[in-house]
Amino acid sequence: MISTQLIDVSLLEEVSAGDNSFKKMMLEMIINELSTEVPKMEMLIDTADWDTIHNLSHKLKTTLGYICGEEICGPNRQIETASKYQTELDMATQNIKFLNEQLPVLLVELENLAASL
Amino acid sequence: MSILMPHIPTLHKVLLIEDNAADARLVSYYLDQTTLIKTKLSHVSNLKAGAELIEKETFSVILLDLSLHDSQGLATLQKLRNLFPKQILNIIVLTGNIDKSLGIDAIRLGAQDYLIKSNLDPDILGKAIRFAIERHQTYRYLNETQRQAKIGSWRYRPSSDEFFASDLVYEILGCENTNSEYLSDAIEKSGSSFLIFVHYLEEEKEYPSLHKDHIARKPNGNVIHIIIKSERTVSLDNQIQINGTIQDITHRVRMEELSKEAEFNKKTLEVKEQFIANVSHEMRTPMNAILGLSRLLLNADLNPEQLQYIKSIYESSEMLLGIVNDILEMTSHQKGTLQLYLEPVNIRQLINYIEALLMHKINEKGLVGNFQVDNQVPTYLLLDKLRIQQILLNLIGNSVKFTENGSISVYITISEIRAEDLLLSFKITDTGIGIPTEQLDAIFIPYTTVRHENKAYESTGLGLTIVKTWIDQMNGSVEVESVLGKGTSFEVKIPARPTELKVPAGDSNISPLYSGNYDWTILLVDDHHLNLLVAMKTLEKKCPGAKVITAINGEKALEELESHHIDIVLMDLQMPIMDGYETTKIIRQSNNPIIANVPILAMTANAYITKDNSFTEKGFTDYVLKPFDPDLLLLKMNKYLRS
Repeated sequence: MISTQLIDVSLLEEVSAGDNSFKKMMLEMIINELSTEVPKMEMLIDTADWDTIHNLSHKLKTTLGYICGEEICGPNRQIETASKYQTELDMATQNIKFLNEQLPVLLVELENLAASL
Repeated sequence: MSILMPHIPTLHKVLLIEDNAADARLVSYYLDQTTLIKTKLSHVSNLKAGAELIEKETFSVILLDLSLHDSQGLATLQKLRNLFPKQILNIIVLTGNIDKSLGIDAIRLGAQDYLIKSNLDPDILGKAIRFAIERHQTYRYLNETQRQAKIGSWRYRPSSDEFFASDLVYEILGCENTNSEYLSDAIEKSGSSFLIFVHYLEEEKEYPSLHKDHIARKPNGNVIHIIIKSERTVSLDNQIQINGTIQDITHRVRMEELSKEAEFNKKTLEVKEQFIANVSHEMRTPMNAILGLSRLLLNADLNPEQLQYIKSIYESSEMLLGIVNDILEMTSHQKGTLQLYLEPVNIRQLINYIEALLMHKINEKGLVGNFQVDNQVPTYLLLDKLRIQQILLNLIGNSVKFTENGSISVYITISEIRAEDLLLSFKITDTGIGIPTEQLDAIFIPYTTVRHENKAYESTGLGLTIVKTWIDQMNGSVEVESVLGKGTSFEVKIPARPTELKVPAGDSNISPLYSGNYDWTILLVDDHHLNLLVAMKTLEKKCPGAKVITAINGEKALEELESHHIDIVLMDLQMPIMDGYETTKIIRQSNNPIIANVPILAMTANAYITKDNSFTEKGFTDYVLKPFDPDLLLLKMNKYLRS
């Protein structure tokens, strides 16, 4: 059987400890944050505002940790490090685009999960 | 400036070749009398006997009478030198009163000095021998230095065509030393090699003090690179003389060429690798889209045939993405940009996760899977979780791939307990097809794939190389044993430091947490609402009875500290208005000892904080990594609030 999910909510499950209303609230906050902050990073590429990108990726690191595996967290971590030290910015740009490309699928999965609660 | 002078031994062996017994006795007497040098004299009376002795012994000086029974005049000197062409003999010729001009000619032919027998006394003889030895030593050093630097010397007088070239000039040009006294003679005897001087001297007429690079060909056909230099001087007899050197730089030129070639190859390789990395990176984005969309389709309402197609697309894409990721990982390693992120890892949870991830594949093939962590292994260890996970997934994945019947077992144990850490052993054993002995050494070499009976299994040949790279980076080791047809066993050993949060050995199921009612007041400082929510939920569940006060920046936190009795602070680092570092600094400087000494746990998503203990220097008591494990958070709070 193939794993079909981009999301990995094991940590979210752990912190919510079976409290579905809490989990739902968390998911709504996460969906809200991701849908605004991830596209914001892509917009900031044009102005090369790497400081703000760093702040955003730093905040997203915790958020993504609750709901994603390494496939998503890894690129975000690269963005955070690259934007902090201003190195490998080409790869960071690619990773920001990658996160934005993944975002619709990710949001659909999160929304489905939230709706099922 | 000090000059390192040649070392002169205390006792010198002197050979006297003299057929006149009275003269020989006189020389012996003077040598005994002189205070300028200490000598041990050997005496023979003819050239043949002298040559035989030189063959057997090494002499500091040879005193040579030119008029012997078996040889007369300058020929005596020439014969002796010709008998030992490879040696530079230190010869002082002895002449009679009437032979003064003969002595001068002897110096031209290579003698160090000449002495007129009738003028001898202990001082003259002692001084002549001492100076000859010193000159000879200096000459030998100079000669040796020139030989090492491959520099030969030459002189030329345009007015008379007189020419001199040192032995090394002949050697560099690949000719036998003809001792030619004229350039025309040298060209005639040594062939075209010496024509290089004719061309050089032509140019030198216009550009005195010339410095010229040449490419020449030796008589044996070998090409050599040389530098010829010269200076014009006026000799004592008022003639223009050109003094020059010739240096063989063939080796240097070859090395430069090789170095340029190596640099070119390196750059070409870099460009090639960068190109592959760029292409791989470009491929990763659409690959992820294919994977994501096929994932969604797998959940759609499909008939069995369509589902099978989508499954195939998904599996192929996943494999292709694995290959692309391998290439990117390799490139990253070659660029030296790989970094370790150490963090507290619950090793049992990690193994459970890997087991869950791979068990369906193991079951699909009808294999038995056995995953076990020894009870002695502490639960929490400082490790690079992602890398360990990838190493194990790669090695266990290989085992599953190459095993058709039997079992896969994974056993984690302590290999060695050391002063500051322990050596963790991960042993992965399968009952698969095994690796042929002759291929065992090559399995970690990039792009090497194992072949079985001419069958190559699908692989980039990068997986094990990457695994080895990570293990090396963690200062670990990997060993492999395999029996063809019976199975393979990999043992990976990684150093790991147990964190202070370790669970008592052998009792991993017992929670170390305090249970009961908590009367703590906790100040939670974070600007991220999600984090505040999670932390509050965790504290509510794990610390029933605890009072939680929140602040969204450092300034607010300081206000709360002044107005409440706070038992512990959980402090985010990156916040607007006043960050966690600044806030902690102010807290530690407080005049109120209760506030100044409050335990502060840094809450950070930055794994770098684990690299050293710099967080304690900044005033933090400890740290928790975000997103935090609820049990870990409580363990740390327990530690500082109950101590």
